[in-house]
Amino acid sequence: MSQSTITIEELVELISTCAGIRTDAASAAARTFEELGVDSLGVLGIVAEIERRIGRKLPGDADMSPSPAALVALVDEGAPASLERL
Amino acid sequence: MDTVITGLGAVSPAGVGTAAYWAALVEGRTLIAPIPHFDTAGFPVRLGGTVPGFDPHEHLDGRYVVQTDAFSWFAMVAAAEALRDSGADTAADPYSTGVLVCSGAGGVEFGQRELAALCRSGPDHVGPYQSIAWFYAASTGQVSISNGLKGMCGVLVTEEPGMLDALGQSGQELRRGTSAMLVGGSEAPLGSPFSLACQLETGLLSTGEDPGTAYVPFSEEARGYVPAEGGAVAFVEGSSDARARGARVRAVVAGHASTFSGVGSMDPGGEGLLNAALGAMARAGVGPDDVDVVFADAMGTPKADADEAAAIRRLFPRGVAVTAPKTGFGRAYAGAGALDVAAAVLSLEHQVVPPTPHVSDPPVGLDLVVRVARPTPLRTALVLSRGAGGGNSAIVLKHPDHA
Repeated sequence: MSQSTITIEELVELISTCAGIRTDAASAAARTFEELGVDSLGVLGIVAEIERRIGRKLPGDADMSPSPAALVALVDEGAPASLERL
Repeated sequence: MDTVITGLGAVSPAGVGTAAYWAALVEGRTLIAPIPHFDTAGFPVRLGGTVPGFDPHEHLDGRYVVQTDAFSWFAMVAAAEALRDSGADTAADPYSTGVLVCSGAGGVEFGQRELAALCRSGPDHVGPYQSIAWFYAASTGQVSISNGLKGMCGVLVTEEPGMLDALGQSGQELRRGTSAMLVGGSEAPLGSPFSLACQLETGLLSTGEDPGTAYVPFSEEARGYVPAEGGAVAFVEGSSDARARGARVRAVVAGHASTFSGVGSMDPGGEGLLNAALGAMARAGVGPDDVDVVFADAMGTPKADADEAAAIRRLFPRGVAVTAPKTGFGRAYAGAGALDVAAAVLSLEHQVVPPTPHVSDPPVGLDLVVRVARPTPLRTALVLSRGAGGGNSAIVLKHPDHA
């Protein structure tokens, strides 16, 4: 059973493995991808890895998410639990 | 205006840095060993010259490591050394310094990894950096980006002679107004089964399993060459610019020429190599008595070696010292010419001809330096290089005191 959401800590790990940039949860939560030094191809790789983990596609503009926090929110929005809440 | 080398960097089977490279060359150290990167079972070739214990994270920002293949890592690390060595302030005008790094194959290991993911799991599993990492131009691009060098940039794909040709082309670029160029060549041909498989069709690779006898050009036991990984980069500028900023001139690029003489194969007969050497010497304004050492191409097959020896005898009827230090570690394709140029610069600087490791006796009629290094006055070196596909190049390098 795949997970349905992603934590900021998991995103910190993906930023390291997919984009080669080391950061921490506090920085990742507060900064934009650009401020962290993650380029557009890096975000593309992170989005692809998240999609594999949650087992579903994110919206087509997910790779345009300006920040890790925005990307976490985007994943939350589409999660089954959050859909049930609606 | 003379083109001069004021910075040098190398990543070789001797390790990272020109100091490690030169120390191994002078010793004639054996740097050939079983290829460690993957299981070579099923391949007729087992030996290679690989960069020992190379961890890109020790040398490069993590973001560049995930974006690039090893051939770019080697170029970036060698370029960083060459830049430091030059002492040049390239940040003052980023548009005045260009980059020209040669590649013969691109990022094959990276490409194999991503293509394997494509075939195994589908297109969603191909990483986005595949779009840049495996291209020939990736090394030049990343050297440019990571150092903020925004002048003329290009990649030259002329196989082994690449660095010699890049030096020749950089001279033209300097005359057009570029202040300085980082020029070099690098290759990582031993990282994956696919890259080794691509080399087998030439039929020139040694199937030897003993590092001491697998690559022995100019000898009766010659049986092909051992492949290697690595590269070298030089910082070049005009002699007047170098003088004006008080830079240490490591060598003068006195003349270059290239010929093309064998469609789809190595130069047959050595005529192409001979004419490249004649052209380079004419442009440098040197005759046979002015050249003190020849860095031979040393292909390692009886015919190619005999052709090269004949060409050298015709060029130097009264003899000349000849060496091929690459027999200690192998041929690194686009990195090979670059490592030979680096060896020639270091040789002129130290006034020592490094030996040709593993070749125990010189062939008749060729003053091949074997067994031990030869200290001798050196004013001028000639570097010869042949590539798969028929390109031949020669370059004349001079000691700054004799330019």
